[in-house]
Amino acid sequence: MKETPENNASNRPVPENFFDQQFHQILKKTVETDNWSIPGSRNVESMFPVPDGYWLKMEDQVRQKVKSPSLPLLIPSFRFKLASAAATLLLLIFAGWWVITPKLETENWKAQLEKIPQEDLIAFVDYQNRDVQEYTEKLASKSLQDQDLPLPLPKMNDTDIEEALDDIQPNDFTDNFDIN
Amino acid sequence: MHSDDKEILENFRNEATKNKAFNLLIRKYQKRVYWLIRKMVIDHDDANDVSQEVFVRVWYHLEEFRQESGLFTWIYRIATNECLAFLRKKKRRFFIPIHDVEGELSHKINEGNHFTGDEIQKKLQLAILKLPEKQRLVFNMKYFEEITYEEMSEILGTSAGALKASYHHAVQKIQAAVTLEERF
Repeated sequence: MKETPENNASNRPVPENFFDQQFHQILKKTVETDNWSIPGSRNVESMFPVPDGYWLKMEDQVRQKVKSPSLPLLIPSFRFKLASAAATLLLLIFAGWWVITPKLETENWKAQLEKIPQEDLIAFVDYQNRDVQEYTEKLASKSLQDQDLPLPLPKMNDTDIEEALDDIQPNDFTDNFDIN
Repeated sequence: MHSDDKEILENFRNEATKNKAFNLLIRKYQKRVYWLIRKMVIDHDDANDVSQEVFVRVWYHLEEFRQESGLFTWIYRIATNECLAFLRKKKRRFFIPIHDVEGELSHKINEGNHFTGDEIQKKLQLAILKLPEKQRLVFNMKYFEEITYEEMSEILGTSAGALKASYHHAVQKIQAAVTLEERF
């Protein structure tokens, strides 16, 4: 049927007592559900067998358990102490790792550093100390033809090189220089 | 709170009468706790383990009980939590999907060692096992133990309205399951 203003559901007047009836239906369903049962099915104890003398046995077993608790059932205060001890142990392990790992890394790095020829190290230090900005400014001041040639830069003196070699850090080195 | 519960609590807080009070508490609540759990886990040994765990927890935490709810409600809350935790652990232990654990429980109903009810009772229990765990708890509490929605609300921490709806859905599913079985 074609929708017209007359038969459109939203235009139809709400029947008298409509909401009362709805309310009644909902309540009726709830009451029906609440009262629903299958005859003879509520007596659970007759359906699930329990060994003879079980209730006294259970009492005894619970009493024994609270007298000698197993590990998961330890008293809360002890459990707290156990948790604190575990946390401290983890903290110590982490602190140990934190202290030892950089040492190992440094030793490993020093061993690698010793394998590198001295002239390469000096070249690296020299390269590290070049002022990039100064170099590019100088380069820009040259004519286009001269820009293809590398600019002579003042070499570091021996004392500066020695100091710079002492200051080399593993990260500087590996980040900027191919040690392999 | 019931007067005998108050007495149990007072005696439990006194070192001299603590053990006696605990014995009284076990005797008073052991059957209700056990049956709540047994209906959920079906197997007697499992129900025994979980029930004992409940009372051991009660022993260690009863002094912290603030009496904001009844003692029975508080114990039931421990029991429902332990029960759900047990079922979850069972699922994790065997790395099998949910329906297989329910299948295992259904098998226990069918094999006869754990269940001795008649045909209609068996049909009902098998239908209950198909419900989701929490809905199963709600159904068992309302249908078998006739716990009020208000008490259930305190035990499960869910509104009474939601519990009514849950029970309504559970009944509909069970009715459908029982009717379907009768047809085939």
